[in-house]
Amino acid sequence: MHCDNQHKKFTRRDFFTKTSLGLGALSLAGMLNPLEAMAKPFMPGPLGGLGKPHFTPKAKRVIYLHMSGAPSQLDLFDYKPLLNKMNGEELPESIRKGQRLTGMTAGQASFPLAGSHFNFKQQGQSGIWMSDLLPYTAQIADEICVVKSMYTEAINHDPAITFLQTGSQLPGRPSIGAWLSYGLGSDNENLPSFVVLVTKGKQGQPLYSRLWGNGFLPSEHQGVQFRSGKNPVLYLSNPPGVTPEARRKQLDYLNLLQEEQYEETEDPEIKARIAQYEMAYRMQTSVPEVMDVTKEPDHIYDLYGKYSRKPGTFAANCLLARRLVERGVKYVQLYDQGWDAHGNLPNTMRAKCRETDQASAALIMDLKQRGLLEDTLVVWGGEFGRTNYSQGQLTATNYGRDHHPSCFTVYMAGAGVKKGFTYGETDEFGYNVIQNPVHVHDFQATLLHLLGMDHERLTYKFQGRRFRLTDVHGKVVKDILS
Amino acid sequence: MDLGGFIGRFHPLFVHLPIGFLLAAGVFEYYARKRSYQKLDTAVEFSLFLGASFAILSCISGWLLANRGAYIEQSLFLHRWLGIGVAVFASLAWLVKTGRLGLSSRMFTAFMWAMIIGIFATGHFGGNMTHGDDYLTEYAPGFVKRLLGQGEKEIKQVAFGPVDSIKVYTELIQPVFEDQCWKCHQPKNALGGLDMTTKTTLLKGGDHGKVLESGAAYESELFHRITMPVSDRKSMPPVGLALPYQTTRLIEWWIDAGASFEKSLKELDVPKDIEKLLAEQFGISFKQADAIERIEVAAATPAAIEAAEAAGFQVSSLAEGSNLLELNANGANDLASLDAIKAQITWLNLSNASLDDTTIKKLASFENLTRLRLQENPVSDAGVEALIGLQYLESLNLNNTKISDVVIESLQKMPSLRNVYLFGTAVSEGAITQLQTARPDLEVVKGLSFKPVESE
Repeated sequence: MHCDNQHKKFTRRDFFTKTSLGLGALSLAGMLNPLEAMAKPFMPGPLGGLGKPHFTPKAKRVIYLHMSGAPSQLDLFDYKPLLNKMNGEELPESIRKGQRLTGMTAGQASFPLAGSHFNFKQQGQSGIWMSDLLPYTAQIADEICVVKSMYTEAINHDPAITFLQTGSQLPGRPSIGAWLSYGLGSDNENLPSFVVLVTKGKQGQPLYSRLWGNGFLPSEHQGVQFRSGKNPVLYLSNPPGVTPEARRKQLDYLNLLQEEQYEETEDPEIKARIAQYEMAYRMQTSVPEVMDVTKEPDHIYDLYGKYSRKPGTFAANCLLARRLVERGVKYVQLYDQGWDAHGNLPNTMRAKCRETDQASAALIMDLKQRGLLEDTLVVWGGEFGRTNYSQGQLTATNYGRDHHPSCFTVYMAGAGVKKGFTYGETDEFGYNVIQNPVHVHDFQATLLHLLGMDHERLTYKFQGRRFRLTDVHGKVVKDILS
Repeated sequence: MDLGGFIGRFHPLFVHLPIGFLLAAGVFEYYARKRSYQKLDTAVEFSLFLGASFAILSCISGWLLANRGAYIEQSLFLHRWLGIGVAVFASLAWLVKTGRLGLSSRMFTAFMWAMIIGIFATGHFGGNMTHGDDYLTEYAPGFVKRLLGQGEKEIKQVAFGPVDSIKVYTELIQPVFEDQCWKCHQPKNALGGLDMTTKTTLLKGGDHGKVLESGAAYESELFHRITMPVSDRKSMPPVGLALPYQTTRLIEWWIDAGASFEKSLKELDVPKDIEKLLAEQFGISFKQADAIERIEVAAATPAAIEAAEAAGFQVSSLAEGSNLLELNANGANDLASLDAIKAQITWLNLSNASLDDTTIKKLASFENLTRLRLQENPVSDAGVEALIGLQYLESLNLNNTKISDVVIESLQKMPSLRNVYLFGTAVSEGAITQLQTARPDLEVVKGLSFKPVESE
């Protein structure tokens, strides 16, 4: 543990700044109550340290379903019959316009357009286009808002996913969930406000814990990964032989020592540490409770599909996500690996959709029937799109698609976004956005807006500069707000 | 060929010459009366001659110009006759100076003063005609403006009521006419024979006929005039800037929609761009504002909030600057502890708090509730009935409560209700259908499930 001066909860300087502004008393009250200290932002932050949104939020919490590896928008949502008509023909230069390709296909002698092997239909009253890979999502078409015009700047997985989750391609910035925790605090003193669930046993593009890191924000805002199995949170349970009573006693004595030290040095980091120990202690009870899905009735398992009974699957994680937001967790981030279909795309997509389609749709339905969808936002999407031409050989039964940053599709459902709505359009080839482009920073700005935060005002001063999730960019996409 | 018009356009060029020469003549005369500058006396005569000649030229060109432009009659009258006065006095002064009239030098001084005062007055009115009345004082310091009785220009901030109460002509179109057109198109001063102040005269039109073709903006002279290039001398308004696009678009829409003088916004077809324009320019929203934005309450006292927190409720403010509160019971159920903040509570989560009908009835006085979560409580139909009076209640969660089909009658009567959740209750499908027929605006959610999907 290094000496951490930047993350001091309350320095002498802060004290004088705050008291001179008349807010000192309030901040101090929050600081001196260690139970509340976890529930409210530690720093006297941009929101006055009281966890107040800038304006009335539409969404109180978010569940973000990230399909790591980037699903093909051309085989799920972005219907391009022209590609089927021109199947095998060369991608025209008038469409590509010299845009860069990855090293994986840049050397290809030919770029044969690849029409989707899947049938598209319009679904629901709203007539949103979807392929038959999504029979369950099709049934909630009238609940979702599909954005077909997302684009990013990164062309490879790690920079792209880092960009999407932290607003910068370079690692080290706080992720969306950490910003939310910092800005809005927690609604449940017994659980972290930012929880991460990763589908178990999947291969694919690596996921690093920095994706849910706090960056330069105080460390209590980082995402906490819950795993399936005996130890959902690592190092949380008592070692064999240590009873809860012994643990409590140990913490009480530790606190006495800490308090004594605090009397002497008045280092606020000590108070923060006590609060974190206490939080961990409370989580020893709250985490097993939330992770215990045995009491969920059969009809709920039926809703999420057969995979939901197996811990660690995407479907089981969707069910867990619902349980977490029910208990006041602000931001639940799911990752599901294995969508990176450079080759053998039809089979990969079939398998991935079989694992995720029902559960994603079920999550939205379940939130709705519980009355939670009205103030919970669900986001589904990958880190970029996939090319309209085939990577590798295009055959009658097989094709692959390379990374494509110029357009991809995400959908949202719930609090504050239009239902049964399609936004943005790509050209006939599905290569470039031709209407209502939504940049990653626009998407992030919109997300914060829905949560009641002005992306330009949610800042944190670090190394002499105020940082934002959206850097110096981002425009709220007002057209998709309900 | 319009020779008169051509010459008229030289008026702005000519007018500056007599100003210079004639004022110079005055200055020379003043100094010539002093011993050391006596030589200047000859220059007075010369300057007066030049000044008077150009003044006459200015009058001629000005007269020609005046016939070809739309000017405000009153200012034009003053400017025209003052200008002619200047020319006359300048000529008289020259005649006296050169001894051609045989009048006394006292008369000469009088003519000179009349001429100089006339120059300032003529110039001022001329400038106002070209640049607008407030051109001179636009950037004047506040005290100068107050001295002139102008005061700071008030920004018109009109508050609009609900969409169905906004009269399109009176509230949106007429203010534009009043601001931009009435000066020259009113009963006292109807240029081109057009009086725009009343419906009858506006419909009658001007000397050249109708100016409004209802339902056809592009056929209407009025729309034609306000959208032609400003360089065209028929362009309206004749001085100052052209009307902004938003204004002309609004007028176009009004004419196209039938140029009605009585209809309200609700009665007209409002295209998307007009809807956007109305929102941006006038802050008129077609969406019914969320109840939360309509509720106004004073802030709760810290002591009252503490009392609620002491009873176990988690209290948070909805947003910066909002006095409304969100409460999570987390099992707490002493509703009496909320008495002092019941007006501020708008989102209330009382799920799983062992509340029964008797206690729930207390909520009837929580008049600003918009979102109420009562799921997992032993509440029945009687408890829900007590909530009918909550006029802002938009969302009501009754999942896993003891309600029955009877509850439908109460739900039907809740005026603002948009979402109701009945998952895990005994309410039958028939009752839900009945409720949805009665209240198509209401979304009723019971248990949801998928239609079977054929596996591959």
